[in-house]
Amino acid sequence: MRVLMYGWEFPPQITGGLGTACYGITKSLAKHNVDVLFVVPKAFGNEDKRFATLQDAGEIPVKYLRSNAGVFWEKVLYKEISAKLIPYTTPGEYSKKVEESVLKSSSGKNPGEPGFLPFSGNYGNDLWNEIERFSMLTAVLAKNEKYDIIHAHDWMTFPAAMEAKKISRKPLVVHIHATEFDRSGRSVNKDIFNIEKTGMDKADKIITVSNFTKNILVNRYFINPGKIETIHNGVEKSSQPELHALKSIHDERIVTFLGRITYQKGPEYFIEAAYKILKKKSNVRFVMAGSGDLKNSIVKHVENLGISARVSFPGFLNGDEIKKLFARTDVFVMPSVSEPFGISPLEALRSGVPVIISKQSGVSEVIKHAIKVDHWDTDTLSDAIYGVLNYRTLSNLLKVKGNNDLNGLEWEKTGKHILDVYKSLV
Amino acid sequence: MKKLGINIEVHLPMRLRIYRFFDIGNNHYYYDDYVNEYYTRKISEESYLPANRILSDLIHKYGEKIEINFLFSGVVLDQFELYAPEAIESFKSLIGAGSVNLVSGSYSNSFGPVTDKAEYQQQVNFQKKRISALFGKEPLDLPYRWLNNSGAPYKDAIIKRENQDETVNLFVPYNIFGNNQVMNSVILEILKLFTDEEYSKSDFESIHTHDTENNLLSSQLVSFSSTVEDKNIGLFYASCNEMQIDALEKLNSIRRKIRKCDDPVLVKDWLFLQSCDHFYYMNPDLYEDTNFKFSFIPYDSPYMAYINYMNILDDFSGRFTMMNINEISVNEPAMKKWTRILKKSPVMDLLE
Repeated sequence: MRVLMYGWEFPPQITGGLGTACYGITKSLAKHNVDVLFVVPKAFGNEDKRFATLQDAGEIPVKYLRSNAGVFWEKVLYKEISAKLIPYTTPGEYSKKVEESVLKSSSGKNPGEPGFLPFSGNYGNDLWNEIERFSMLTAVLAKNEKYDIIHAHDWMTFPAAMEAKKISRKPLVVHIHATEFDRSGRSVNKDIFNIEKTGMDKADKIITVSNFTKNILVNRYFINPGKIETIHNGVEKSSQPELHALKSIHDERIVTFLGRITYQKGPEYFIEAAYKILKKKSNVRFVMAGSGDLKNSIVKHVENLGISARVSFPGFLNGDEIKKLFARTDVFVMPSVSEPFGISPLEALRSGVPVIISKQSGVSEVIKHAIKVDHWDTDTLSDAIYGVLNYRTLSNLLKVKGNNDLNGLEWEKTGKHILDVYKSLV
Repeated sequence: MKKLGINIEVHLPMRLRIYRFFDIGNNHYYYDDYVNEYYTRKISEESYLPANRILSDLIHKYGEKIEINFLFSGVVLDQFELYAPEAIESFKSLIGAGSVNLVSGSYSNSFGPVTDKAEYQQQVNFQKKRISALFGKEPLDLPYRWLNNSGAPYKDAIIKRENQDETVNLFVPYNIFGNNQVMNSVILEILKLFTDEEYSKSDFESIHTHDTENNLLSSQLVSFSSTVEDKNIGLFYASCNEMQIDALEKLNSIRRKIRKCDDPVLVKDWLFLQSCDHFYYMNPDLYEDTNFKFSFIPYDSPYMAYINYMNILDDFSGRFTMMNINEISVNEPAMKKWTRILKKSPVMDLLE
């Protein structure tokens, strides 16, 4: 079986949960003997240095790359399409990114010079143009390649995937890792919603990463639940031994948040809980790792609360840095407002860190030994943090049994389940 | 003539309020008055009062062939006095009808002698006096050992028969009398035992009706007999999870302090905090059973139940070092009332 897959990000560098999920899915499908033609839009150059060597091929719309990273990649053909799309982008963020990239490309010139910002005034449309362009470019590919099924991850690839379906008449599976409601809450972008909804309607089968997300599709997108298959994400077994827990030099306890600092991840609830804890307990450090559009306002909020000395913002961390952070972490907190799945708590558990997760998350469906709270209930959240920090029996229990919970969550299982969906359609 | 004995334990948990870590050292009131009042009234109206009427009918119909034994916890009597005095009146009139015995157990519905034999005996003695003062009838010592290993009581078995030695015990949670459908099947079951054929065939000496709501740990063994074998203590601990053992150890560490204390408010809190209900909520099985319709669980998870209880014990333990004990929380209305009740009752006997 051969799958035309519209995915995001390619290892070794992965910037978020969506990339991790695409990697895990592709890898396990390859193990189940499925050939994957993996198509990604080429992200912004200034965001993604790993593509630097390919930059000069900007004129060539389709870039083929065969990786030698392990046996299973023989099953995977990776294609890169020159398109300025990256996951997690909203139209607002997109225009900012375009602006940044324009400013960067003109270094040496005076950015303030009039007439220098050609995109000015109409950035929002560029995202839609880019999506359109991506789908046109991939149409060529969709026509020339042979495949049995089309599988698209999240909304920005849906137009391309629908185009491919039109050309090939092959069944389409759309995979929902996040919806516009998760990302934007009440201020939902109508155009994005429409793309999502059309993709779901045109799809022959929809995969959601949790029942939590399935319910959103049923209630907000009016999708027939019979068309939706919940397939939980997995967690990668650690390739190298985890770092042993490090003792803090200052006898400081560490509470960690890891994720984009955006509305969806509920960073302000973390800070509110921190404030409550710090009133009672002073030897605690709150680490908020990640970047995002709310970061500046959160930093300011922390200053206003007078707890700057106890809250750290290390910025975006790579894999090794995350491991080091987890080795020192006493409790991991994911207070997401709306989290379709949430891979990071699983990574924390893998490192032997007890986790507290939002009930508004898909991952809470698969971990039994975690404390689950409503994200808005910062009283209970701070109570839970305090409890894990203070009562060793609880912390050990969550650590050991939570880690055992990971055993049922192999990517192989996810891949097998996806393959079953393919088989039901072909 | 064979007798049919129906043994009923009457107990309602004294539910704790959500006690935040920032309350520790600042607020010494531990109980959820609203929820306790609500459930005491609800269960009294929907279960105890109608059940007492049914039992009263049975007594009239079968006379001496039937014998009912009631085991009251002190905690439930406190809550009746506070929130549902009509329940006490109802039990009084049933007891007056004859064929009813009172049996004495612990005040707190605690783990009994497995944790502290001396304290258990004190609680039983205290409860004896309380019961005879309230109902005008001397309670008996519990004549047999009470074994229970019924995990989630409402899951599948509504009525559970257990062959144990020569006695057949029938476990029926008393509260289910409030649920019409369940109540009918229970009544049918009991009435069936009275049809001549069934009754003569069976070798019943006792039907054990046990109010299991919220008061026993999963697979827990509770023995009410005053002599406890080490083996049973071992079994008891083996059936507890890590959180329950940790919480119990913390509770036990406070025992030393309470013996030196003669403050009635602290003693009352001590009695309430020993109830095994608080430990029952730390059992994860409870939260996985989605069919758990008959019981109200005040927590989201066993972890929050544990944290809540541990926070309260932290605060409670801290209060023994304070000099102005008597000024604590007396402005809480319910506490005021308990304090008044305490002053009337022979609570000091507990302390010897």
